[in-house]
Amino acid sequence: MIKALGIIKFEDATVDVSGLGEYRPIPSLTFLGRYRLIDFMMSNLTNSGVSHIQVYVKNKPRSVYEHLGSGRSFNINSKHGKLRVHHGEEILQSEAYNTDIRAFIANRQFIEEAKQEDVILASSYMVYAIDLNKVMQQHRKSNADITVVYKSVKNANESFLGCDTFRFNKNKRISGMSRNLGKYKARNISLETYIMKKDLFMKLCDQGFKTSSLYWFSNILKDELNNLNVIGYPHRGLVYPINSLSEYHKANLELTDYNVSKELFKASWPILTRTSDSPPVLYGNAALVSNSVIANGCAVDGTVINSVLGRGAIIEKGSVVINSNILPGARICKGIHLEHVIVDKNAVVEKVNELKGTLDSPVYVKRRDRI
Amino acid sequence: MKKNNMLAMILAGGRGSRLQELTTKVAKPAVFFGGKYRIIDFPLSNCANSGIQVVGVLTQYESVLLNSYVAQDEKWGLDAKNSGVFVLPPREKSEGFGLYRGTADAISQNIDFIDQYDPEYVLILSGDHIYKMNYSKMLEYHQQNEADVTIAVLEVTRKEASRFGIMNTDEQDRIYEFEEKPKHPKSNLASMGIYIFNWKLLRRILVADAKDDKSDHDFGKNIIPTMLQDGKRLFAWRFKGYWKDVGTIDSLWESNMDLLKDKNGLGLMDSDWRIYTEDVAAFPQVIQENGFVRSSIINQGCVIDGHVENSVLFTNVIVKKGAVIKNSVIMPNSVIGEDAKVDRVLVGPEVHISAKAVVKSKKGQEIPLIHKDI
Repeated sequence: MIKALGIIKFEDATVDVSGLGEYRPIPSLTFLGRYRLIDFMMSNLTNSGVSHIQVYVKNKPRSVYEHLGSGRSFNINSKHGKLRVHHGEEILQSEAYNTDIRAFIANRQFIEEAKQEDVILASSYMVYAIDLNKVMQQHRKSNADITVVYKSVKNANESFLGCDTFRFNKNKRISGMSRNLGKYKARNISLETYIMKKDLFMKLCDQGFKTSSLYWFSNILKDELNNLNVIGYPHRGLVYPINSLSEYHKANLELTDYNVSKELFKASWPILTRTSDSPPVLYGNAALVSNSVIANGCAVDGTVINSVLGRGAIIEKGSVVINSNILPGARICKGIHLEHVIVDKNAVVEKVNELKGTLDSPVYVKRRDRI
Repeated sequence: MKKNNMLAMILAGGRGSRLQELTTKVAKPAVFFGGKYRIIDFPLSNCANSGIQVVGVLTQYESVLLNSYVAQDEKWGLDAKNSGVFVLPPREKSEGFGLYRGTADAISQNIDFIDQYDPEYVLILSGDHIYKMNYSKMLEYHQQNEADVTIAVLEVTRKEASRFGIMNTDEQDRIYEFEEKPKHPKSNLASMGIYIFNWKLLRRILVADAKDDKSDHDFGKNIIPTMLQDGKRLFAWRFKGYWKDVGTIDSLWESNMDLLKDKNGLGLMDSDWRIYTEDVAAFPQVIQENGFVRSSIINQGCVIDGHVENSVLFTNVIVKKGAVIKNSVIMPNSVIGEDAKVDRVLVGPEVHISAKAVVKSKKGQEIPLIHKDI
């Protein structure tokens, strides 16, 4: 059990999931048929025993409110826990001013009022499972001012683009920070989960805001690396940064392999989400399915290979879905052939016979579109 | 309360001993059905969808699991301020401890509970039937007829009729006679065990019945005949749709298989009348490289690398490579080992069928219940 205030912040402009991102904020993106991106960090927090959580949303908060509700589906106790969703209430002259720091300062009262002394600050666009108790243990032991979770990756030249990367000095202290521009393979990627005292957190926010009204939390952290003892906590498990449409597509397809997904979805670490009371999946007498993840409520009578089907998707007889991501409520009609396609919610693919994208640039079919 | 002024009482005390080992540790209403549900989800969801606010569930046999399951009323959306699901097992009273002696007695012993809400109507349901029904339609019919009692009936064939309680009615469907399992049925209207009573009247009759030592305290045997004798207005309400009493392993298997038929009438996929159940934090189902699934219903959490045809698989069932499952029902958390063959059986929850094992039955044979590891 951690006595810390959980804060899930919104992402900066490097996160741009074109298409999908136009209809909902990043935390609400449907993931792997059944989940939404924010479920992973919410589960990390509540599974670790954090019971007071604030979620900051950049814009279009409706779907976040609807999904999180009172937090009941996420194991937040209705009396002793608290879930707050904050979204920008100020009128900003430019979207560039819509920074995480500005949002924290605007809600200073709610952060300062909280009884917890520490904060766990995290992002929702990074998908991974982590026991925050262990991060907290290291944080206490190391006497760090700030502990940040990072992952050493070998594919930074093609993934994690735009994410913060860390350099360490001999004492394992973080001595430098820069953005990943994709030049190198091996990088230490920031997973944007930080633990620190609440006072320090607010102090840094104020300082950042004074320095520049365009500053984000990671900007002020970088400025202060010499004055603060910032230590890294290495995360060894799977991580998917959902900061572009192709990362979204790749992550979903990779997780259709159960040998991979079972690393992320362990019985001891449930990924919690809101139920939709869908019936089980109904397979018809022409169904042919392999290497796929299928959420409840689907009706499948076509061919589905290496794909993800969201809740309530309908795959009609004679259609073929390969390496694709069919979001909840979408319908793929008779005789349609899809390869590397992302079909957004409730869209109907009926008239075009074939759509083909690639792993790096999947075809995107808009929400509620009929094509 | 309020809304339609009707309170529902679900009779869920029965053991269902013909379900064999499935009901050793859980009462029949808590038995699994349809890949995801428990039987009692159906009447409870029907109540919630019909706008009923308060539901009492009368439990008795092995009720620990059933009580805790039913008590979480938010599952069915029966959790608004003035609504709820209330678990009513037998209790100790100043007159002593009394088990429920019959269906009517279970209600009599809870008159105080019902009185708290002062309903105009009481709906009596059974906790072990599979069907979707809008009870508010039945109530409208009850009010139109200015009835004292309305009984939902199903039209069955004359041959089947001798297995049911049969309602003999006039042209207006007013009931003049009730016959329990008649050898020579005069009508084909079978009672579904679903009653709407005017509470004031039922209360009076229950109080009198409780004092009658010769009574079996049963709705079918005592309460309904008494009302007929007294010349009360009893009406039959004809239900059209899927209805099944899943009393035996055979009928439980069969009604699961019914779900695989194209037009089964139950309409599980119909989102306008959802059946609610407990929310499980399981991964969506995965069909792996060697997986083959056809004409089946499969729930979340299943991991399938074998062949599944014409079967119903519940939450978290694992089907290993080379395994072949046909015409079977596999309950939650069971594992079918590599190259195992399973055909026309009902596998209970948490059963492990080892690699290469063969469990089968032939057409015409009773469906075997596999409840132990093989």
